[in-house]
Amino acid sequence: MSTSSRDAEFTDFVAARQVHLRRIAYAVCGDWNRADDLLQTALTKLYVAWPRLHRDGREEAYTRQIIVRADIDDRRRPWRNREQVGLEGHDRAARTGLPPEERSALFDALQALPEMQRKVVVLRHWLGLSVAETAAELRIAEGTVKSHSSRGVERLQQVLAQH
Amino acid sequence: MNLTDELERSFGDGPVPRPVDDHLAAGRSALRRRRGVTGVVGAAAGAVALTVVLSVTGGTSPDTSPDIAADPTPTPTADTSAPAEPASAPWTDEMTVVRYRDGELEVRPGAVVHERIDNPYAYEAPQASAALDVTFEGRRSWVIATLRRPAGPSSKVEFGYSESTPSNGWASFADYVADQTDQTTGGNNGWPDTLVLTGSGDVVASPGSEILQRTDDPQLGPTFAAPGEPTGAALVTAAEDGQGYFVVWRIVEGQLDVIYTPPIDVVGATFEELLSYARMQYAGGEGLR
Repeated sequence: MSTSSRDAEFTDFVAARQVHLRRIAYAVCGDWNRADDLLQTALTKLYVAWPRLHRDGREEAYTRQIIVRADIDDRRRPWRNREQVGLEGHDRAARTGLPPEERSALFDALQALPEMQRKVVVLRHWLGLSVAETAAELRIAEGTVKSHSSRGVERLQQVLAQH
Repeated sequence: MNLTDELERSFGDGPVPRPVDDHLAAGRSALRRRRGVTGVVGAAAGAVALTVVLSVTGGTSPDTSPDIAADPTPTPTADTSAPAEPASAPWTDEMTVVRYRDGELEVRPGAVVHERIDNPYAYEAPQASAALDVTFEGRRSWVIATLRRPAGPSSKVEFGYSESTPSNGWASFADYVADQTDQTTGGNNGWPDTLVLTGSGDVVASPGSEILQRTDDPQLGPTFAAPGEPTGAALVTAAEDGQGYFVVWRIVEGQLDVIYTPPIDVVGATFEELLSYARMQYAGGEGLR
C-alpha cells in the first residue's frame, strides 16, 4: 500500500467516524481532555496497523477496543496511583466535562455508575455489542456483563422515568 | 425506552476536536519511528498529540488579537515588521501553550516550564524555534514551537507547533527533542545500555550493569513477539546512571530490542506487579513504549 493511499483512506475514516469515536472515549472516561488523548492514542495505533485492519474491515472495532482498554489500563496501574500523587508534573489532568447546564440527567446518571457498569452499558446498550463481545472487550466474565448491564440499565431507566 | 438514542444525545460534542490532519501527522510519526527503530517491530511511542501550522499576523488589529490565528485556515496576514502589540495581549487561542509575538516566545500564563531548549533547529532570525517541557492545567507536555519562513517568495513567517505526551519512547526530554529535530538520529532513544546479546544468543547484563531479577519467556503475548522469538523481562541497574529499570526484551532477526520502563514508574512496584502490568499492556495492544 502506498503512503498516499494509506493517508487518504485513513483521513476519510477519521473524518467520518471521529465524532462517534470521540463520544465513545468520553463516555468511558467522562473527561473531554482524556477522551481526546485516548482517541489520539487509538488513532495513532490504527494508522500504524492500517493496511491489515482496513483489509479486514476492522478499523472501527479496533479503535474502539484500544480506547476502552487504554482507559481501563490507565486506571489499573496500582503503583502509579500509590506513588505519583502530588509529584510535580504528574498531576492528574483537571476534569473538563461539560458545564452543568449543558449536561443531561442521563449523562450524569451514566457517569455516576461504577466504572465497569458504565463501560458495560456503553458497549452493550449504546454500541450494540453482544454479551460475549462485551465480555471479551472488557476482559470480564459474561455473567459479570449481565449483572452490570442489568443494574446499570435499571438505574438509567429510573433517571429517564423522572424526566 | 430507546437507550441507544438517548445515550447518543446525552453526550454532546464537547470542545472542538483535534483536526484530522493532527491524527494523520501523529500516525505518520509513529510509523516512521517504528520503522526507524528496528526496521521490523520497533514500537513507536505513538504519543504525538498535536501538530499545527498557523499563520502569523502582524498584530495590527485594534482588538489586540494575538499573533496566533485560532484556526489553521490561512488568514489575512501582515508583515511581521508591523508595530508590536502590548505584551499583555490576551490568549484567545486555546490550542497552544506557547506562541511567538514579534519574534519572541511567550508562554501562556499559568504554565510551568520545567525545561527549555532554545532554537533546537538552529534557525537564523527572523526564524526561531524552541522546545519546552511544560505543565499547563495539570497536564504535562513536550512542546516544540517554530517560526519559519516557508520556501518561496513570501516574506511571511509561519508558526508551527507540535505537542507530545511524555513517553517511554524517549529516555528524556532532551532525547525527545534530539529525535524530533534531527531525523538522522532516528532510533536513538537515549536509554542507557543495560543488556547485550552475546554471540551465542544469550541476553546478559552489559558491562557494569547488573540484573537484579529476571525471567525469560515472560508470556507477553503475540503482540510483543512472534512465536519462537526469544523474550524476557528483568529489573536491572544501569552502569551508566546507576538507576533501576524494568525492561522487557525480544530478539527479532538477530537484533536485541530492549523496551524500558523509567525508574519513576518502577518505584513501589514489585517485579510481579510490573510483569502483570506488561502482560496487560501488550494484551491490550498498548505496549510499554
